Amino acid sequence: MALKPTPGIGAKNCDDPKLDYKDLEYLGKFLTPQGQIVSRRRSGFCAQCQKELKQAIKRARHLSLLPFIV
Amino acid sequence: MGRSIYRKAKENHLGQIYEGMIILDNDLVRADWRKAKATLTDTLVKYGAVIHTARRWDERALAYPIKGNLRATYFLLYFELPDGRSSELRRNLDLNVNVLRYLFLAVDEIPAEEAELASAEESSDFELEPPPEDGPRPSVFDELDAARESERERVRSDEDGSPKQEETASKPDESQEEKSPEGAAPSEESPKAEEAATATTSTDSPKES
Repeated sequence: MALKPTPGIGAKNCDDPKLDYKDLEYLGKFLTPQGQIVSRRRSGFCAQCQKELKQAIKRARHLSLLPFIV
Repeated sequence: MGRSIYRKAKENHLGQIYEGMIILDNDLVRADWRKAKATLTDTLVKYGAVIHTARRWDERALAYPIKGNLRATYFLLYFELPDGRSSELRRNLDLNVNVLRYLFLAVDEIPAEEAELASAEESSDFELEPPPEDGPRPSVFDELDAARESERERVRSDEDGSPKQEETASKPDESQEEKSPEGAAPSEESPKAEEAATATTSTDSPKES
């Protein structure tokens, strides 16, 4: 039995420009209440976009725009 | 793929565009924003940077305190930097007390709206509101400090107390030794006890038989 695809949080298309670490409102959607990055299963991103998301969130964390842990 | 990256780097030898985000201490901004901006841009120019745009991106509360600051000003700039000067610039910024943190990213182009925003800030009409004070420290940090301090005290007491524990551990032996002569006194009365024991055995033995 095939798994039903989950809808995912993000509406990002792979052709869209790269995720920006300054877009905190958008990045905040992909954090759990504890501040962890959500999995691909929940974000609905492809592998490449998930890597971009991870990079953007980590940059924002470095600049203290997003917390490491809540 | 490696070759193409190498070729691209060679093409961009003279002018890679960078996006820089620098977190500045609010005390510096509060004193004089224009002066602070000038000193920061001068620092970059000193290392051969050509600055295209520079503006205050935001003033906000930090997600976690950096060097004891709870709020800071974010300074966003786009500039070109010659190859090989990046490490020197980074070293300078590392040593700068007023720069709390920074991030440099290589970008392909400068965003279109960035020039307008930067020019609006450079106009004489622009007045920057002084950043607010940090405010009271959240109680969470006090709790964390207290926990850390208690942990340190525990470690200290463990380090200091370990030889004491050995001493205390050895003391009971001594005390036992000291007590043993006293304890030997009942042993003098042991014939009575032996008699009692034999009496019990003698009473038990007929029953067993």
